[in-house]
Amino acid sequence: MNHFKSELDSMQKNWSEEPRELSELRQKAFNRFSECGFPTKKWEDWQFTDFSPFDKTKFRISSADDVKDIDKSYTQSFADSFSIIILNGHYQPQLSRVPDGVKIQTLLDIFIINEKADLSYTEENPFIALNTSLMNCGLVVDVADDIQIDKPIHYQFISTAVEDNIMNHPRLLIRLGENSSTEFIEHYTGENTSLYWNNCVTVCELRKNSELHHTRIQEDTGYHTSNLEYHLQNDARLNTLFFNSGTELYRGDVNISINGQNAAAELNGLSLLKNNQHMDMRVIVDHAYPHCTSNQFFKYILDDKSTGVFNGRVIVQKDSQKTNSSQSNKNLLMSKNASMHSNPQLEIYADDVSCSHGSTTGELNEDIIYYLRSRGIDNESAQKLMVEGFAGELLVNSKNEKISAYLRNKLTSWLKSIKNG
Amino acid sequence: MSDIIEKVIEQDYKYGFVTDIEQDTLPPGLNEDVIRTISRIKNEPEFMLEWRLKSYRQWLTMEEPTWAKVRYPEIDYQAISYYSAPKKKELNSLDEVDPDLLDTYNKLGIPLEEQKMLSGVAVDAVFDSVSVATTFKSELEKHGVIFCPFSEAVQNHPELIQKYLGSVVPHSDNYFSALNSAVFTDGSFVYIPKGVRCPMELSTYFRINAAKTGQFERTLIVADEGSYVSYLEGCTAPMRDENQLHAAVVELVAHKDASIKYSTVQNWYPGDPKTGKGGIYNFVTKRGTCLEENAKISWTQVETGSAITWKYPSCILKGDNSVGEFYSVALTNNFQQADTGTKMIHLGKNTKSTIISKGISAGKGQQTYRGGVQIMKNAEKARNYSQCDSMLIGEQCGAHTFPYIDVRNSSAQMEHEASTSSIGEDQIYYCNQRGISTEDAVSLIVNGFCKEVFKELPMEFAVEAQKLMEVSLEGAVG
Repeated sequence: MNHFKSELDSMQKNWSEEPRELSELRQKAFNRFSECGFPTKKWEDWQFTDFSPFDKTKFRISSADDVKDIDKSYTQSFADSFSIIILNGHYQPQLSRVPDGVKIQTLLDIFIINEKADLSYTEENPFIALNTSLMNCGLVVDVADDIQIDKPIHYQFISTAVEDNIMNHPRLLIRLGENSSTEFIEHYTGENTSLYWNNCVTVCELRKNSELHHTRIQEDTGYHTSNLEYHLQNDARLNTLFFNSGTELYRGDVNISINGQNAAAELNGLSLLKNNQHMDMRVIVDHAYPHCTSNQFFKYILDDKSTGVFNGRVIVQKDSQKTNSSQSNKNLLMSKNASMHSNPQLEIYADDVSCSHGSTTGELNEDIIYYLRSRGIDNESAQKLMVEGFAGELLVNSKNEKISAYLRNKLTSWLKSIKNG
Repeated sequence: MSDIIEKVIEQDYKYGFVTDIEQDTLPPGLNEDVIRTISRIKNEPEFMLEWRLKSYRQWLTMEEPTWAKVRYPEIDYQAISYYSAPKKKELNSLDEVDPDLLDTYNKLGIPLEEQKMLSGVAVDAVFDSVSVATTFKSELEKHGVIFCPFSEAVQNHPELIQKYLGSVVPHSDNYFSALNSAVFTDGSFVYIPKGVRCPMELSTYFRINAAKTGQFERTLIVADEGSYVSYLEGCTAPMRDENQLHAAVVELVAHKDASIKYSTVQNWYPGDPKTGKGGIYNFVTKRGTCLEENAKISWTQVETGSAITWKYPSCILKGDNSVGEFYSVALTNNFQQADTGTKMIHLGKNTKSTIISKGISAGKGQQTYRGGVQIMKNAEKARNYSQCDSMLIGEQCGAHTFPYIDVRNSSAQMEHEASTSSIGEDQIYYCNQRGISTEDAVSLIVNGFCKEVFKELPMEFAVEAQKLMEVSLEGAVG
C-alpha cells in the first residue's frame, strides 16, 4: 500500500503544474483507497477473486519515456474506422482521427478551462478510488447533438513491452448528445513480455434518445481491472459486447443506471479462459424509471485450470413499473479442472414487472458429439462446431460485421490454441 | 385489486390466544450457570453438559450474522428466559393432560384424541419446551422405531445421541445453531432401524406459549440402512406483542439406501398486521446429510407465518447416487420478511438435486430466495435443477433472488431458472369472462403457482397447506 502512496507523491511532484482542484481530488481519493485497501475474501461481492497480486507486484506508473517506437501496424485492426490511439497510457493525437462533431479533450484540459466532468468515485470500490487518485490518462469524448456517425470510433489502448512492471489508470468519459448515435470500440491489446496492469474506468453518458453501440475487446495480457458505468436518459439505447480473452487476472464491474423512461440496454459478454486465467465480472443494472428494458447475456468458456465468476444483479426500484428484464449466464466447462461461480441475482421492489434469470453450467453434450461423429465429422471438428455455435450466438448480435468477423477469428484461433495445448 | 389487498392486510391472525398454565421458568439471562441448571433439570449425562458448555463458549466468540436481507431490532439475549416447562410432568395418558392445554390444541384444530383415532398419525406434541404427550408409541416400538422427546432419548439412548448429535450441524456451525446447542431444552428424536419402512407419518406440533421464552428445539432424525421415514412438522403460536426468538436446529442423517422426507407447515404469529410489531423471529438451521450411497433427503416447506424467517434447509450429498430435494412455498404479507432457500452440496458421484421454490410477496412483505449449489471436484456427473419463481401482489412488496452457483467439475450439469412477475390483468380478465370472481381467480392462479410444491406434501398436510394459503391470502388473493 505504501508503494502506491510513493507513486502518488512522485506523480504530484512531477506534475506540479496540475490545477489544485485535481491534486486535491487525487489526495481525497487516495485516502479513501487506503482506508478500504484491496478487497478481501470477506467482501461479499469480491469473494471469489484473490486481489493480493496487485499489492505484491511493485507496479510503477508509466512515464513519457515508456513511449518508444510507434509501429504503424498497431493502428490497422479495423481499417475503415476513426481511431483514438493510446500507447502505454499516453494519448497520441498525431495518430488519432475522429469524425466531425466529435470533440476530444484530455481531462487536464478540462480542468484547466474549468469545465465540468463527472469524476465521482463510489465509496465501496477501491479500484475506482485508486484510478481517481493515480489517473494518468484522461480523455473526454463528446459527441454533439443530432449526429449519426456511420463509421465506428476505434479506441486503442496499446501496452508494449517495457522492462519495468508498469501500471496505467486511464479514465475515459464518453458523452453522447441528444439524438446522436455512435459506435465505439474500446480495444485493449498488449505484448506479453512483461507484467503490467491496466486499471480502467469508463463512464458513458447517454442523453435523451441517443444510441451507443459499445464493443469492449480486452486482449491485453497483464492484469486488467475495469469499471464501466453507463447512465441512460429517456429513450436512450445501449448495446454492448464485452469480449475478454487476454488477461491472467481480470475483474470487471459494469454498472448500468437507467435514469429515464423507455430506455433499453442490451448487454452481451463472452469470456474465453484457459491456463490459470481468472475472470471475475460483476454486472449491476439499476432500473429507477418505469417502462424500461434490459437484457443480459453472458457466456464463459473455460479450459485448463481457469476460473470464472459471474455476478449479475438486476435491481428494480419501487416505482419502476412495467420493467422488462432478463439475465442469462451460460458456461461451458472444457476441462475437469476448470471451475465457475455464477450468481445471477434479482432484487425487485415493484410488482408490475416481468423479470427472469437463468444460469447453466456444463460440458459439451456427448449425444450431440456422437451424432456428429456418426455423420463422419471427427471429434475435434465436432467440438469446434459446437463451441463456435455456443459462442457465435453472441457474436452475430454485433452490429458491425468487421468486428464480428474479427472476434470470430479470435475465437477460432483460441480454439486451436487450447487443442494444441 | 387494491381493495382486495387492503382486505387481506386487515385479516387478523386466527390462532392468537394465550393459554393460562403455570410455568416453571428460569429468570431471564444466559450464563454458564443457566446452562448447568438446564442440564441438571434435564438430568443429562456428563457429555451433554460438556457439549452445551463447549457450544456456549463458541457462541460467545461469534457475531450475529447480518448478511441476510432482513431488518429487525437488536436482540437482547440476556432478556430471554432459557427454560420454561408446564408444571405437570410425567403423564401416562391423555386424561392426565391439563385440560387447558388440550383446549389449546382443540382451538388450533388438532384434537389429539381425534388424531389418535382417525388419522393414524403419531403426535409428539411440544408445548413450549417439554413434550407432554406422545401417542402411538407402542405401535412404533413394534417396528423398533424410536420416536420420543429429545430429553428422553438422552436418558434412554445416550449412545445414539452421542454418535449423531452435532454430526450434521456442528456446535460451531453458525451463531444461532451454537446458541441452540448451548441451551436447547427439548425436541424430537427419531431412529429408524435397518430396513424398516416407518408404518406411519411422524409429526410434531410446535407451539410457543410462555411470554419471553425463546424456544430452542433440537430435532435429530437418523434413518439407518434401507429405511424410510416421513416426518411432518407444523406450528402455530399465540398472539403476542413482544418478539419471540425461535432458533431451532434440525439434523437429518440418511445412511445407505435410506430415505427421509421432512415436511413443514409453519404458521407462527407474523406480527401486528398494521405496524408489524410482535411476531416470531424464526432463525432455523436445518441440514441433512446423505452419508452413504443411494440415500435421499427431501425437504418440503410451506412458510406463511413468522415476522422474520431465516432458514435454509440444506443437503450434503456425500454418498454416490444420493438425491437431495427442496420444495418450498413461502408467503410474506404485511410486514413479514423472509430470507430463505437451500444449499445443495454435491460431493459424491452421480448426485442429483432439485430445487423448486415459489415465493409470494404481498402487502409490504419482503422476500429473498438465497440458494447455494456447490458441485465439488469429485462429484462426477452431478446434476442440479433449480427453479425459483416469485409472485408479487401489491405495489410495496419486494422479491429478490440470490442464487450462488459453484461448479468445479466439468461433467456436472447445472441449471438455474428464476422469474418474477405479478398476476397478469389478462389472466384475471380471462377468468372473469368465464364467470369466476376476481378473488377465486387469484386463488386459482396462486394455487396453480404453488401446485408443484403442494403435491410433494403428505396428504394430510397438503390439505392443511392449501387451507393455510387460502386463509393467509383470503380477500387478498381469494
